[in-house]
Amino acid sequence: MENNQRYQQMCDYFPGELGRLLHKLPYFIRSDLHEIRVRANRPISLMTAKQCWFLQKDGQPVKQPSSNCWIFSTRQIETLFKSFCEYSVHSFQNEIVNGYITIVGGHRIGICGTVLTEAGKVIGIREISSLNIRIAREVRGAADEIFSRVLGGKLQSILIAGVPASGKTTLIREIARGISDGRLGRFYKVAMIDERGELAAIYQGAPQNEIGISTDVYHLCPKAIGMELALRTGAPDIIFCDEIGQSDDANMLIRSMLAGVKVIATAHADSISTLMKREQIQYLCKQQIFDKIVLLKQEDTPCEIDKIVQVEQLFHTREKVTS
Amino acid sequence: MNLWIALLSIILCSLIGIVKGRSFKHRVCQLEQSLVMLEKIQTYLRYEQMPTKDIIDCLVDCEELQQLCFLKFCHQQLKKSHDFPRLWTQSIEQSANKMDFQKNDQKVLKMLGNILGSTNTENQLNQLELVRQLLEQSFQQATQEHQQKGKLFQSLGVLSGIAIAILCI
Repeated sequence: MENNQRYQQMCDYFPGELGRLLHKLPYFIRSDLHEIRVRANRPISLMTAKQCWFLQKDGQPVKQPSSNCWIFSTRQIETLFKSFCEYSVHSFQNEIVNGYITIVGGHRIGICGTVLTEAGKVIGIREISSLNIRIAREVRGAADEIFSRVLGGKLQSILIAGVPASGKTTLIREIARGISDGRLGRFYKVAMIDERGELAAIYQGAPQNEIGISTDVYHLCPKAIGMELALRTGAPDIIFCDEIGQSDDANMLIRSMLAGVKVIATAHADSISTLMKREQIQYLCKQQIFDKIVLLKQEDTPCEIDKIVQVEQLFHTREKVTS
Repeated sequence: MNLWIALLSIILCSLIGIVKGRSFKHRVCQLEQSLVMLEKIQTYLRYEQMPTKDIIDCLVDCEELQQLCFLKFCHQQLKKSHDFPRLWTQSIEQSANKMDFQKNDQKVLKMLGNILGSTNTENQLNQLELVRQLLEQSFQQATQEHQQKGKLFQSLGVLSGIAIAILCI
């Protein structure tokens, strides 16, 4: 689906006049829009990569909030939320307890409000006070550098590390699509463990993002369980998962390696040294689960490679680093 | 001439009586179908957590709910808009003249628009149970009315026609 088409579909969920104004946002904002934040009794804000804008009632975005800005009441936020759920809140129950829902087009709506718990587990959210609409975008070509400089024409296990908003999720999605679509010379079977629904953005059974023709998605499935299911029944050539770091993940990743299945995963870190301070990651690197670690640049240059590290060299005296 | 007027009055009054008598029967039938509709909704919610739009799609295809013409209207409108509560209310109102529901029946059915899809499954099922009880009450009242008044109105229609005919002649 084209990015513009996705954006237009998302605008249709907003009520009447506001929806029309969002459709007609200036191109320089619309093309770089990452998030729309709707907070109770406060101005609606539009977040681009470098600026926060506030939307006025005449449709003009401004850099400072004013009395002329669009403000939603709590009741209107609730109605907006139900609209995003297409008046099927019950169908999104499992996602709501995780604090977000995914709508058509792959946009993720983060929910803030009063959290209801029972026996220590979140069972629901009421009195929604704000919604964070993350605009889904596909960045074609984001993985070109990975294919040329890191994979080198063959399937490898890679750990992609970076700070939040550095493009890790976008990058592994593009890598999965490329591998699945035969970019490495054949159509490898890809298993995508989409625990948070951000990779494939499944909506009513259909992936909203392009993930490749031979990709199987384990939607909203915990990583360890998803990897086990994939290994048992999916016979994948490669597994993709986002944000590893738990001990369960580590065990399953080792099982994947022993089964001869490659893995591409992501982890939060701002440097290789920070990454290696994480016990599970260090353990996985020592077990040589990953062939390479790719460190991404900061959030204002998403999907750009900062360093490539050969894991086998990482624990020897001389570290082989290319940048 | 008087004979023609007499015959006409018999036929007209009989027809009015029959129509009125049948409206009681239709109301019973429509309320019965509404109860079936409600049970189906509860099943779709309980076992599948089916999205609201899909529930309406399934209901429209049910042969046993064919008299509930507001379902078809709602189904058509949902293709253009997500605003289910407004569309449901509109559908009930716009099909009011084609159906034999009383104002109270319409009020209860409109409640479904604010219940369906607005909260989690358990909450909706509890509220739908309340709607079901209200509809049951209406159904029992309608059945009684049909038994008591259905044939009475048909007979009254014929008798009034005969009375007018006699007066004319």
